[in-house]
Amino acid sequence: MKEYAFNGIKKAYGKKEILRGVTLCAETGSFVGILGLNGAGKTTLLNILGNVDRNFEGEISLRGSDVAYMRTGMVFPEWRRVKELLAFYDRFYKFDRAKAESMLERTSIRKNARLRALSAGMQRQLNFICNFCVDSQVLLLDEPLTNLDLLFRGVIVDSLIERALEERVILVATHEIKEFENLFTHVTVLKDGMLGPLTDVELLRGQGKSVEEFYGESVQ
Amino acid sequence: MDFKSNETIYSQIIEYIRKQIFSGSYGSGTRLPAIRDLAVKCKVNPNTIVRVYAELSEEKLIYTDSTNGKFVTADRGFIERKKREYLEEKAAAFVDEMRQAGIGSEEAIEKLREAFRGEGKERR
Repeated sequence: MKEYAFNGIKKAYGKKEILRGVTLCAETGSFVGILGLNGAGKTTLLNILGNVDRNFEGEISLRGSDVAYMRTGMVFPEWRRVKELLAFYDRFYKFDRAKAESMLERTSIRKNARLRALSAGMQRQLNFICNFCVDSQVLLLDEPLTNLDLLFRGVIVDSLIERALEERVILVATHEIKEFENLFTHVTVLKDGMLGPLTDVELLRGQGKSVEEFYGESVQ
Repeated sequence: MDFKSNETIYSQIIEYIRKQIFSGSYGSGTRLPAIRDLAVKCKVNPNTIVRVYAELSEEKLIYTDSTNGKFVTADRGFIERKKREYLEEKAAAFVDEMRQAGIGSEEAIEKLREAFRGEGKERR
């Protein structure tokens, strides 16, 4: 894979247009921040890219098991057990199960536990670990730090740093800029159903502008 | 490490490593941290560290041993020369600022001496 691209993605709920032709092309190795206010359509876009929503117009260069997607909520039935979730990932994706299990051991999540017995934070930890351990060309993360304690936020940031040299594209939808601004290679802002230009963050800083300032100006 | 958010991260890390080399914290001939390790320590994208090491290599302050990683140059004389250049550059910028503010050399040097003495006391 040289690049990950999508083109002219449109999505409407009834008469309300959420996405009006969203386009992006990111080179392999990019770590892209998709920034946007609440309700801008970030999750709608990621649901489409991540294969959850198949009802849209437009083109996407990669889908299916080449794309791992950490959603904001847990999507598996609550009565399932953690180990069944691991088995699902193992079947569907190219999955580094040994790595996932070793990461799980450093949390308080037990493999025999049912999903409903996990706290909201633990569900998010599990969600991150499963998707992070998928060897996919594209990794999508929707507000990955929400609901997590300081310790696991650190685990997420460090894990992503460790894998950022690999030949893949990581897309993070967030409005928490501080934790990610030094990890992003590029940022782009989703506003009024359109994505702004893909902007190199070091070039931005070279012009004396922080990611936060850029974001602030873009959403105004 | 705390970075200024409106200056390039790679230039701030280069500056940091230069200072470590000049001060001897990263001594001549010693091995530099692995790319991933330094990236995790600084909480930055490892591609930034790749760029930092590439620029420092071009400047010849560090070199790559293809199997073992990156090392500070073994040429102590070169480090000394670079350190002097660094001082000259900073001094020229300082003098420039002082001139703009109408501060003369006597006054400025006296203050510098005081500041150095003060710093010394605080650190101890």
